[in-house]
Amino acid sequence: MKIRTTLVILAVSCVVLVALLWVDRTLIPLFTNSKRVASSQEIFEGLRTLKSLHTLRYIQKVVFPYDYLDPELDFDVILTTLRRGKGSVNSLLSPRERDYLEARELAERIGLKFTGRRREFVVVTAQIGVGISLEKLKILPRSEGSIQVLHPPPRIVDLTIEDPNPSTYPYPDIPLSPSHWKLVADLVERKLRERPLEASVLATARTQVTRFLTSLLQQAGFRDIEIKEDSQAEDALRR
Amino acid sequence: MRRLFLFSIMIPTILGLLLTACSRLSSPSTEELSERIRTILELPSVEYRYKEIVYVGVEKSFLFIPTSSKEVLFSVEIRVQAGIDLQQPFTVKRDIRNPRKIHLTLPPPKVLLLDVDEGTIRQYFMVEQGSRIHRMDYSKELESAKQRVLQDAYKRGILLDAERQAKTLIENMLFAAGVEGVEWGRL
Repeated sequence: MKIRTTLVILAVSCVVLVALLWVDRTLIPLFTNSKRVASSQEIFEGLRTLKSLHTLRYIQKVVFPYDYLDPELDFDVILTTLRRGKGSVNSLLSPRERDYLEARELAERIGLKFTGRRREFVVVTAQIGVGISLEKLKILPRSEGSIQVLHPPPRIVDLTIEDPNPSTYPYPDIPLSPSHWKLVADLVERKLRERPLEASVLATARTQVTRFLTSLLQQAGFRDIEIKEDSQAEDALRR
Repeated sequence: MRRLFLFSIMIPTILGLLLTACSRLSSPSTEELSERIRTILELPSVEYRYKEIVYVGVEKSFLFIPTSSKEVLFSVEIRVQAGIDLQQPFTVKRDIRNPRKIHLTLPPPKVLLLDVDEGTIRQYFMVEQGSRIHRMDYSKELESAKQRVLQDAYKRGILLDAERQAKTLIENMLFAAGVEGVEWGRL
């Protein structure tokens, strides 16, 4: 009789407890973990919402053709190298020499006067979003309250060349037709994508990444946070 | 038997109520949440960096005959940072019906830094004929470039970006702390 009574009490208690847990599911963690530290998965999901955020917006104005005409380079030397050498332009010239050659050829083609007393130039505005790819973010929990995050190096997330507005263009008028403008804009965009970002821009982007991740993880309850740039991801980007 | 049955229901019910109370206590207090939000807001949330081009061109003439001209073109790096203005108070309130829901009111975002880095000035060319370019010419143009960049940053939505980022960071923190819903208001 006693055993039967105990079993009835236990069964009814279980049913009532399950019902209570069903009503308020927030009680479930109390049986598994008493201290609330967000799981790495939870943090990762939270970080995913930051994907659309850039760590830095860089508005870069490029002066065509002067940004590509390195005063230390000599056009005649570049031409001589090309005439005497064997192989492709890419194999014969350095990136700076190629920039010089392409910019000078285009400037001459569209009729820009860039030497002598009268100097003509075009200012092209590019809006560059710098950030990190969150797909490559690695979150490695070490022990309770301790976490390591490896992030890929900052890179160009988006790049837009803006059309100039004649009413707000604060430079001498652009002596270009729309088709010539398009050629200049295309060259500038290609060169911006080819060139690595300036060191100071990368440094600011890195600082912002570290700040955001540290702040988020601290608020999630982590006290020992190590944030590092993932060199393997950097190598993968280079390849 | 009936007493036993009632007893078996009462024990888990009391236990359940105690657990509910404990769970309410284990989530961070409103003061603690306010402190965490303040820590997040202390960071300037958005930075725009500009490589601005400055052009100075002055030509003087007498009876339609040019007498002097000066022209200079240079670039300079300008930084604009925006965030939430912590000089103004923000409020954090729990929903009366659901303590896991938070009502938050933030002060408006503002530009916190506008900095011209004169060490980054790079000159493209300079033409001086009959007249020299003075330091004052540079300073005047740099000041107008600064204002131009500030207006541009406003136009591109730096304040909206700052507000959006601050909200995203705060929501992430609150959800990780067990909050189920956040309702935003503006001071």
